[in-house]
Amino acid sequence: MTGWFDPGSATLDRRVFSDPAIHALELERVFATSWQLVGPANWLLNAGDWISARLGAELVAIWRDRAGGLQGVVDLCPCCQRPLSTGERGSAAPLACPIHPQARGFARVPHLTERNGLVFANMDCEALPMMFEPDPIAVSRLIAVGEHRLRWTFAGNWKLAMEHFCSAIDMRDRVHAASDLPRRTSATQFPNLTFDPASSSLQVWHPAAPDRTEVDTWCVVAHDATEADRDAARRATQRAWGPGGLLAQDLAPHWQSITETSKGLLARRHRLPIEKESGQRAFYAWWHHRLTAANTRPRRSIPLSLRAV
Amino acid sequence: MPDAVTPGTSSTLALRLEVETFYYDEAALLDGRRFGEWLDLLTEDIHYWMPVRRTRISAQLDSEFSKIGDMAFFDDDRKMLEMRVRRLETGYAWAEEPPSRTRHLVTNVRIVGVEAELITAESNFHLHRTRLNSDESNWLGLRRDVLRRESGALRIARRHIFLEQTVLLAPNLSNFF
Repeated sequence: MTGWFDPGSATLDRRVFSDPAIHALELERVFATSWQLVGPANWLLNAGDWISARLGAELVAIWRDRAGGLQGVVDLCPCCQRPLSTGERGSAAPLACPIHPQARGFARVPHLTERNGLVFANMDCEALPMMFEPDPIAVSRLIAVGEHRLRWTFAGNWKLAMEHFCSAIDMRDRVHAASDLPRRTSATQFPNLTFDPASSSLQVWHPAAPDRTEVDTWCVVAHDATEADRDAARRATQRAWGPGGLLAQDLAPHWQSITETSKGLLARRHRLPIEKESGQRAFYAWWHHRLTAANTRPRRSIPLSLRAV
Repeated sequence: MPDAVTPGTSSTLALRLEVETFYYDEAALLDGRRFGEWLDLLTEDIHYWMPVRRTRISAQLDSEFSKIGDMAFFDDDRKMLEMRVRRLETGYAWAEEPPSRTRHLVTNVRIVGVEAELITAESNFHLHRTRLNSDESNWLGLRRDVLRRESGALRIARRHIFLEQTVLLAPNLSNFF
């Protein structure tokens, strides 16, 4: 029987773009166990700085504690089930439920790490340390330009965006940023982080639903970039990968069409050939591996912790 | 805030009528996809800008929108707008090929400042867009324009667009506001 992805024929079962059961499995086996970008560290510089973020279907709040470490919890008051965060980020104000400031028993994000100026989180207690090969981002520390990110949404599956970025890159057998490529190629980190050096833009493609993706776009530059370089990078990000950007605006409708077509029973009988570029193949091979038999580790619960900001 | 020029006078009403008429004609050009003619309504130094909005608590609403120089959905000068129009005319701008169908509704026009040749006007808008069979987007918001009189005719020198959305609830922004 041929699987959702068949490496031999380089074909996909179209249901991978719209089947709720596959989406549920992705959330459990990919997004609950993978390192994902939370945001730039320069948005979490001082004690009390916090940002809200998405890890798959999980809404989390991450903050800098007084000792300079990173902390994270599921963004939910255990007493009244309201989010702790009001808005997407804040500073200094204590991150606490306005109604139950003394609430305890938060579900903690077990792993947080900072690499090259970017903050990553992993919901899996037994996660291995993150492999992050930042070339072609190749600078010691990145910072986000500005105080805002561009956020938008489209009615398509998240993998189509990843596939697009992967097709531009030879990842050999790893789905990580390839370290020996020319500087201007795009880079990806499994599962849902992409970087386009040409426009200095960093995207996270959140699987909001089988057929809906929510996109976070930051502009990132080297921490010592000049004011002029930062401004040029910001404009490039907006003009390429913002929703009004000349690249992104054409792609989203295309991804919507592929997602919509994948719902048809007849269409599903015809497997979707993907380009035989090793980047795309590597992405789907890794995705398939994570979804199927190889991923048999028992599920662990997320630990509870007392919180003290 | 009342009209900055003397409220209720015939010159105020005449100016508002002139600005409203200008906006209706402009909307007709955009909905008719006459983008080249729309460009003629913009000054050489236009700033066409749509900031990013985020949820803030009441005490922090002054930082709700990104400031000029921070990230924005649009931060275009005339050259960039001309490039967008040229691109739409190639037939290879896939977001608009086949084209979307738009309708611009412009209401609540208020003249909030007049200084020599510069008129500051605010208006509410509803941009409704459909494309193909089932794609539908709605954008409502406020436009704060600076209009300048050039050789007697009104031209848009600044258009700042404030949307009622934080996460943009649309797959793209391939239309003009």
